Amino acid sequence: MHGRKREAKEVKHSSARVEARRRKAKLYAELSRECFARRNQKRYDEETLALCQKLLEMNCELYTLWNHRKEYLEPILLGSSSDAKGAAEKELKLIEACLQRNPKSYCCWQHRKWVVDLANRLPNAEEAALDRELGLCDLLLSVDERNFHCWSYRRFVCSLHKAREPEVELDFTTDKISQNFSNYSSWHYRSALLPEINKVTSFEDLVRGGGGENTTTTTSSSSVGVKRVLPPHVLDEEFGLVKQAFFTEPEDQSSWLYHAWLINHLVENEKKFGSYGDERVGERLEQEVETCNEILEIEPESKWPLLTLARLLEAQAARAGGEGSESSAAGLHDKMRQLYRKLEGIDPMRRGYYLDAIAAVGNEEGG
Amino acid sequence: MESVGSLVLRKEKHAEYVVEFQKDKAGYEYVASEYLRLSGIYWGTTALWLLAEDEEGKEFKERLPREEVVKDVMACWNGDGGFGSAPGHDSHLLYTLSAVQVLVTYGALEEELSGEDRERTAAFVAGLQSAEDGSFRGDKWGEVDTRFSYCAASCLTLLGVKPLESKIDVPKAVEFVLACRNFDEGFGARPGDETHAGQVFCCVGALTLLGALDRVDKDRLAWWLCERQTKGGGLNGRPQKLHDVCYTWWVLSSLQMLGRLHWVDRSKLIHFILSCQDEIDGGISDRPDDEVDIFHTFFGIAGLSLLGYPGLEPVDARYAMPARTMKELGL
Repeated sequence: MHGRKREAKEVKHSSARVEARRRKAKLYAELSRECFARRNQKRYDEETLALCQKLLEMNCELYTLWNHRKEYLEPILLGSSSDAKGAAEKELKLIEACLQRNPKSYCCWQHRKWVVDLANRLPNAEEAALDRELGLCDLLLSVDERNFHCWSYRRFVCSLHKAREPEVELDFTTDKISQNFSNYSSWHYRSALLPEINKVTSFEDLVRGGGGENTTTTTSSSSVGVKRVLPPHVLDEEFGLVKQAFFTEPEDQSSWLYHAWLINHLVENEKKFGSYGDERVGERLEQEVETCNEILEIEPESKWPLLTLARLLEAQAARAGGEGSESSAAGLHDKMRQLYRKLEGIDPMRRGYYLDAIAAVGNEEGG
Repeated sequence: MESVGSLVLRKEKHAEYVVEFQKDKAGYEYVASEYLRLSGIYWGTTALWLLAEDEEGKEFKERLPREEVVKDVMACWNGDGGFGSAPGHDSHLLYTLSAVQVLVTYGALEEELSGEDRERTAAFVAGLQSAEDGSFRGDKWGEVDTRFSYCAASCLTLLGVKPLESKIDVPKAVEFVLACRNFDEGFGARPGDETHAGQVFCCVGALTLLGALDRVDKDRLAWWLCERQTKGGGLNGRPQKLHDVCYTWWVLSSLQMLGRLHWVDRSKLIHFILSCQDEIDGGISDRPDDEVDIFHTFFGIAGLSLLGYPGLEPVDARYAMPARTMKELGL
């Protein structure tokens, strides 16, 4: 019962309410018994389908009844008869009505996917049908911009839609983010689209810094392995976008989490390949340190720039250590410890995390 | 009993709520929840097991007769080896796992399912794996989701399949879960889908049961998880969302498997869960003053158990079942 207010006990336990619920339960149970009896007899006549539809409209989570409809629809949608398209459209209308009432129903979304997938294979399938599906996504995302079922369905439709290039979708996320920097779903989608657009071979590699040879970077052609990373100009744009978000909503974690990923991507790839272009990583880290400091000048107790700063210093210390400059690493470690101690006071709920972070700095120093 | 402010866990009330829900078979809540009834039985009975003992030292689980529970579960068994959510409903992996969980907890698996039947159930589960990418479907209609990767790993282990490689392609199953990993180190339902704490539980659980948890960056993922704790003390499932009791379970069990349960504020979280109790009619809701249900009642109690709230039976984070049961099985 997500988000439904608790009723006052005198209302909930009143004889009128108890009686009404009994009646409702009895009607529901009768309809359900009838539907399932017919479903188990494998009846697909109009009357049966209409009865089942009625029950689904009352309770769209009845996956078995959607399965019943799939059994009825499958031969039609796999056949070549002229009414296949009409049957699909009729079904989509029913599902849409259910989704409007229950936009987070796993089985409704799944059934829709199933219908659209088969309808899209019909010889007379049109792209306009997929445009309509994207329209439905737009509509439902305008009601709830975080509905992950809907985002997932959108990606599915785009995978069928030839004209829907990932670049177009990236623009869509930019619009959504500009409307609301807290739209984490959009930030997420960007993180999945960027590798696709930039032909980064696998997301796993992107996150972790994968192997393979390189073509796209600023470094010399002889350097090995920087291929599977985002090109620097793309990173520039992304850092620019998160910076806007920082200044608009500094307390919102969405953009800071995205930023943490960009930094991690940069640092991990450099570690792995020894080259995201050394100069660039150093410069970039320095630039991001400055951004954090700028925000901290306005909001000295702000958690996210403090935490981000600590991690940037960690990355700088690791690089400095690599170059053998131990004293500068030690200085950075001191600053990190101070920042984590400050965070412990500002954000006491995550005290355990900050204490572990301080201990990790210490270990690193000892080792 | 530990109290946070003036709040204590109303064990007696919650047990009454669970028993009433389970017994009132003509009630609307019961009738209209047929699409997940078997999971409801799992949530309700496991809640009773975890509640341990009443004030007279009697076990709460005795309040629902074992033979009735087992009979209700077996009524959902289908000849294809799977279980549906209710009698006459189609087999689905979600309810097959719930059925096996309840049967195992009650020590009734072997008396209710013959060796041949258990074999059939294992074959039903294993048959849902895609040879191509290692993913699992929920049923023959093809919905793919990392929830099902977890269900399959858990269900097969509980059925006693050993090693799992004898029934499923373990490396491919692992690779599919990892293909659903995102920029924030969390996991989504399918490749490209957004991270969600419930999905993180499924993926961390699956990787744990498949012996591949070392493939995860524990610090980064656990940090994302501890950032789910909101100012109000509860946990949300994704950034910028409201806290909700059910995420207590998804987030905490994941943190437990990752060895970083101490990254959340225990007492604030306990206070939040206790403030979601219906102190008069029993049961726990998603947020304070919302309507209670059996799902949140179970996850609230299971969360408290993981947090070491006194007087509760310890819960196993990997299986969401009594730790005692798992120990007896040697799992």
